[in-house]
Amino acid sequence: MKIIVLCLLSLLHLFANDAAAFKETRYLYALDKTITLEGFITFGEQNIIIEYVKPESKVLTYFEEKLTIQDQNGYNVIDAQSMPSMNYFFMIIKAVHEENSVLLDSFFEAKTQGDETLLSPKGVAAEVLEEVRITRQATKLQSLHVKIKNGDRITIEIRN
Amino acid sequence: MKLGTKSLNILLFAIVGTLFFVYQNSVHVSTNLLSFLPEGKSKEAFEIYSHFKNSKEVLIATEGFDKESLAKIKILEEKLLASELLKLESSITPNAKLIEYTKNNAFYLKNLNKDDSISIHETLKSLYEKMTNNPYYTAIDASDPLGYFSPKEQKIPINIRDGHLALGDFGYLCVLSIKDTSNTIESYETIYNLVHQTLNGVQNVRVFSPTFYFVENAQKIQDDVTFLIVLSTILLLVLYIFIIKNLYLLINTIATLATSALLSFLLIGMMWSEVSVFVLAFGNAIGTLAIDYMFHYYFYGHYESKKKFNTSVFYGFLTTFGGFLIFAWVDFPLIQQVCVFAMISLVLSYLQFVFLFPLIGFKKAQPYTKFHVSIPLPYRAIALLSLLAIVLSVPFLQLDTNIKNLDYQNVSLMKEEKFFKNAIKKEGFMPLLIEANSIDALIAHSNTIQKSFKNATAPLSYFFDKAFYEQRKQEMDALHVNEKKAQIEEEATKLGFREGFFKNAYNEALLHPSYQELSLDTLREMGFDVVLREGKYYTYALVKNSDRNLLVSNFAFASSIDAKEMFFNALEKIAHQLLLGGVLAITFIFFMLYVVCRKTLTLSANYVLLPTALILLLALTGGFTIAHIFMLFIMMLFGIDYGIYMSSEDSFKDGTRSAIFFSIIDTFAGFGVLIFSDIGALHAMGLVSCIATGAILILLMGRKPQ
Repeated sequence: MKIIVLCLLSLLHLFANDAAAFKETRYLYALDKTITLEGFITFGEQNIIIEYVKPESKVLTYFEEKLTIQDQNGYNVIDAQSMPSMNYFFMIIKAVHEENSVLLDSFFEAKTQGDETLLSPKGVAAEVLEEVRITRQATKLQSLHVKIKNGDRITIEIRN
Repeated sequence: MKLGTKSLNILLFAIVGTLFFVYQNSVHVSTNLLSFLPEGKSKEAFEIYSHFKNSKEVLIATEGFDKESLAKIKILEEKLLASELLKLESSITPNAKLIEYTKNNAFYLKNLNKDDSISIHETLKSLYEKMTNNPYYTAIDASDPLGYFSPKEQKIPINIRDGHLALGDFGYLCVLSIKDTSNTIESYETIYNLVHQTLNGVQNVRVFSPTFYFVENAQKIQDDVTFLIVLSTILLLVLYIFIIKNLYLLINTIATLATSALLSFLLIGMMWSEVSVFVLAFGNAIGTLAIDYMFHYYFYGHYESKKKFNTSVFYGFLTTFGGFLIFAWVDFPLIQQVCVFAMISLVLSYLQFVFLFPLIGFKKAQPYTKFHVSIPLPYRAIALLSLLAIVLSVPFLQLDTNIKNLDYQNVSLMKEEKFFKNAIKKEGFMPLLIEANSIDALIAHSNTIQKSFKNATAPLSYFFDKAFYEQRKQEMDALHVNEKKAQIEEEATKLGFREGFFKNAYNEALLHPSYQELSLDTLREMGFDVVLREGKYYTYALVKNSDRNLLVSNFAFASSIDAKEMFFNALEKIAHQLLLGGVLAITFIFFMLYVVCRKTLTLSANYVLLPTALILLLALTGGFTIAHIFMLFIMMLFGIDYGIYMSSEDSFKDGTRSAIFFSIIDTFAGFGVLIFSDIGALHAMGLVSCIATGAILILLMGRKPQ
């Protein structure tokens, strides 16, 4: 539990600023292709806003399990619950930001070695996720790696 | 011999009292009003539904979506589950058996879109673009690249917030079911205490379970009945001390009434497996009718010296007994229990007061008060006006068929129920019992209900029956997906998909899984509510209240589970019996009036007509229930007793007048206290008896204008 809390505290540090710049790398197994996106992430009281600036300008707002996508075509709202992988992705980010160890404990077993914390999914999360890895340097969080059961990988790296 | 006779009454009381203490636990007293409704399809449906875990879920919600609230609900869940008495019912918790079934039968559990107008190339291209262009991570279903299958629409959405069940905008929700399937009040009490002890001191949390009604209402009803019995007993004791002024007679009277009540209770317990608690409250009041016989005999001086048989008292007893006998044939257990209790109690009391007490002998003491009031009353005009009021009000009478108005009004729990139902969007929905001869047919019926009603939720419609399986197999064969597989692979690779990524698409196992017969145990393990009763299978669905009429006329396999409707059906079933009983009772009343009170017909009829008219006028204000009607008939029978007493030539003598006056005051104390009850049925009886006794009292004060 202490390890998780420490890990969460460091993650909080990462997201403490109003908007943190990040780089997201998605490896899509189906296409054997890696996509890179860049942008800023902002935590509101009840929502998470991800503003992508590359390759295209798009804004995602995650609020009450609903995802609103804003781009040049307008708005589109989708129910995150219909897409478990994406839902877990946002849930993890939110839990880390809010230091919500109860939420993380519900879905993961945590193991920490040095600067790296490995979250092993359990229960229903194990149906979708393979593992989640959080790395940090000193007290600062460096990255979040999510391995999905279908072979896809998502990595978020914080840019200082 | 004399000592033996004197002690006989007390000896009888001692024997019956001993029997009562020995056998009282074998009589099961129930506070559940539904148990005493007539047997029928609706009642059976209700009983079967009570075995579904859905009917006795425990819902707990913690306010807010912050981490404290989440931690709070998790701790509560943990504590409650540790008791091993409850089971967590959460759609988030994976059910291994259901997941496996869903995976194996994916193509049969989803909706099929047979539209083949878009080419394979275009469909795959669209998939590719979604994966690469969507700003959010998008996973695809490799088993269905052409998107033929889509998940079934969820009719009542269960919100999930932060990986936990959520109750609308209120906070996190925990749904628990009771493991014990015995449906006993003891089982419910255990759960009630466990939940409330666990929640003790926890702030911002709300809880509800339908089973709480049984626990709280039972306690409240018991308290209410105890209060009424104590209040009535104290009032009557005070009254008797003032009236009788003979301690020895008072002790014997109390012993007689207690003997009658206890023996009636034991006999009722032998006749019915459950005795309604209402019978106890009513039974206590019945004693006040029986004591009238003693008053008359005592004030007439029957207990001092031998006198001729008192025919007025006999006719009074006969009419009351006859009335109860008439209604005892109505096929309604609650009414039957009350009537049989009253009949046994009245007979026992009458026999003792009329035959045993004169043998014992009691000296007549002068009461503290004598009834001297005498005001001129136009009896003929009162009778005519009353008759007119009765004739005019009857066509406008409307019977309140809501059973809840007869039961204890647990306002705080009703508020919690409404809160949860509103938040889960179950308010305005009615449970429906689905019946079939096989599980396959049960699944087919559930799917029929689901398809027929836009807003219905039929849990078993998640599955498919054999006929659907065959149909879907044919539909899939018609899509010729096997022939498309090579093209899918080829086009996908061209577009940039990993080679062989779709090699398992539309595989044989998914296209043609063997049809799995689902057993009762399998369905239960998967978390579904199914009950097997006498060779028939039952499950439930929720449909909108507005769809009820359509439902009843179209689907013979479904019956609504609604207390109001059940009660209405029960009333409908006994309506003709009640009507016949009413006609018989009224005929009997007028026959007795004609036979016994021919000379004083108008005067005596007043004692029936005025109370009836006043009660019917009250009924016009609404909320006239079966309890009002039943009590109205009893008060009519009760009124004729006074008509008979007042027809006697001795009625204006001091002793008789006092006896009549005291007996009405006594009845007021016995039945009238029921007006203080929080239980609808008892309150209604109390109200009716107050009006009737008030009217009779006014009539007793009168004399014909000179």
